[in-house]
Amino acid sequence: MKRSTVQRVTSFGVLLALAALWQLASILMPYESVPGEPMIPGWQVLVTRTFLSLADYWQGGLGIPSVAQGGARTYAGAALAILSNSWDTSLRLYTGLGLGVAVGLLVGLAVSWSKWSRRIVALPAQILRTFPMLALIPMFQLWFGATFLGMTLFIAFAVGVIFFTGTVSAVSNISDIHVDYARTQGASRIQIYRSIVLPAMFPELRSSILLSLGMAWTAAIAAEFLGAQNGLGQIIVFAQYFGYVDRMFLVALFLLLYAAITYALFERASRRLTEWMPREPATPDRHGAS
Amino acid sequence: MAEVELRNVRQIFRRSGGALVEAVTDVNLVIRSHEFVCLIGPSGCGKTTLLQLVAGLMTASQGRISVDGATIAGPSPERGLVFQRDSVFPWMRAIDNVSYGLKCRGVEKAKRIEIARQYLRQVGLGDVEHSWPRELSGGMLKRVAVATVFANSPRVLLMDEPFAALDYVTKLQLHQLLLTLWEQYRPTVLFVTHDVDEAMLLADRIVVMKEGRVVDDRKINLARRRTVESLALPDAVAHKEALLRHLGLGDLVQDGAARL
Repeated sequence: MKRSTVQRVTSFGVLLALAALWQLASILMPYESVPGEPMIPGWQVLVTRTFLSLADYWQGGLGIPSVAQGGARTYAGAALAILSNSWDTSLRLYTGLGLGVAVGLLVGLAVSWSKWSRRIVALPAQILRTFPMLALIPMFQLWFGATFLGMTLFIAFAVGVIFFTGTVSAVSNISDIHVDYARTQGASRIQIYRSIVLPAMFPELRSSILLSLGMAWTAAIAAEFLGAQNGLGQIIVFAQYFGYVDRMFLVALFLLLYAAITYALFERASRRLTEWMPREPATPDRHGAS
Repeated sequence: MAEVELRNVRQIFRRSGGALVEAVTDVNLVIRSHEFVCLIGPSGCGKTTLLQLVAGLMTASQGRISVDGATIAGPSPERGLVFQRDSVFPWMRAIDNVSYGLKCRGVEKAKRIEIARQYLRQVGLGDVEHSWPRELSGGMLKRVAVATVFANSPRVLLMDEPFAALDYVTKLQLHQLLLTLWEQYRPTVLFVTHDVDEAMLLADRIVVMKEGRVVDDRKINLARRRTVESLALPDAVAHKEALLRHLGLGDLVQDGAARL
């Protein structure tokens, strides 16, 4: 069997084992958060009753009435509820992510652009970066309310500070020789940033991008906790009010799925962008160590 | 034509402890058009600093450096530089590396690819133009660097111990390649090395630096292309002995004949 196939089968096996452990825990610990609501819902509950209950969050339309309008809970309603709320969360998330990446990157690059730009942006950016994110949530809520703008800016802030730090570090590690080589060939400063700095820093920035993706999901859900009228975070908040652990867990699984898709897409794009790098990572087993 | 002139050039650095170090001291040097000058000296004698000053990568603390009478003000593709360490951009394929300088100067894509192809063929890499640098050997990477610098049509070619890290055979092959390209395009060359044999093989003139100063400047009147035999002629041996003495290797010279 090919090595990559073995790795995939192993990973899948670990996932199955975790799912089995969860099922075992649900049988061994049949506690309830409120009467009738299991603290650890088994898979048979999650894929039937819990999924169907998500229809409560469908606001009606497309020929399927909402539960609040007297409609019955249906799988179609549940699926539409998940899709529409996922869309709302994703829109906030990716807008905030894009904004945070752009601002973090630009401010990070400004630190290396010139002495003046460094003097202007470095200290304020370093101070802003140390603000505790959780303490900022109520402030953003008071400033902007539970609006798209407020939630997006909060996500952008959370992502931006990570990207800023990653960019400053990545740029400082770029080899001078490549910059000098470009200068002796007549490259302008803009050309150096576009064709030398950006590709050279990408491998090191990769970890910041991965961190940012994780932080963006966390920030998006945290922002929706604060009075959003839709989105996956809002479903979790409502479920918490009534002790619906199963709904919270199911939404968390959807979040996990979306995050996994995002990571997979990034990995694919990343592989393309780092095609020039050596393919095999230096791992102990590659060199015969046990 | 590209005559390089250095007048009273001095370069002072400040060490991290605050002490001042004079890396280059009152250097006066004229390199005539099309001349191939080798700059040799022991490690830390200031030869790389001098090369970087001529490249425009640093500004002299004092003095004037000019090309054809015009004071240099920063780096320029007219003064191409081949570095000692691998400078080829690893994220660009061989052909994109060679055409990079042309792209920076706005040469249209078809034209610059044609030029890059021509130079890659000349350095013997016509069949790997789409390879990533990670797929090339150390010698091939140096060939890419040489093709790149010639593709920019430099009037002055600056080389900082470019072949120092290569094996003996690859180094000799690259010497011949460099001489072929120099004879064809005739740039003025300033070639830094610490290898006396390399300097004897390549140079019209050898300038020796020691502790930041030029201590010797000798013309090598040996017919080109030089061979093992021509480098064993009395004139060549005399030059080599003098150079070895400058490098503090007088012990290797005995009875008028260099042991190496």
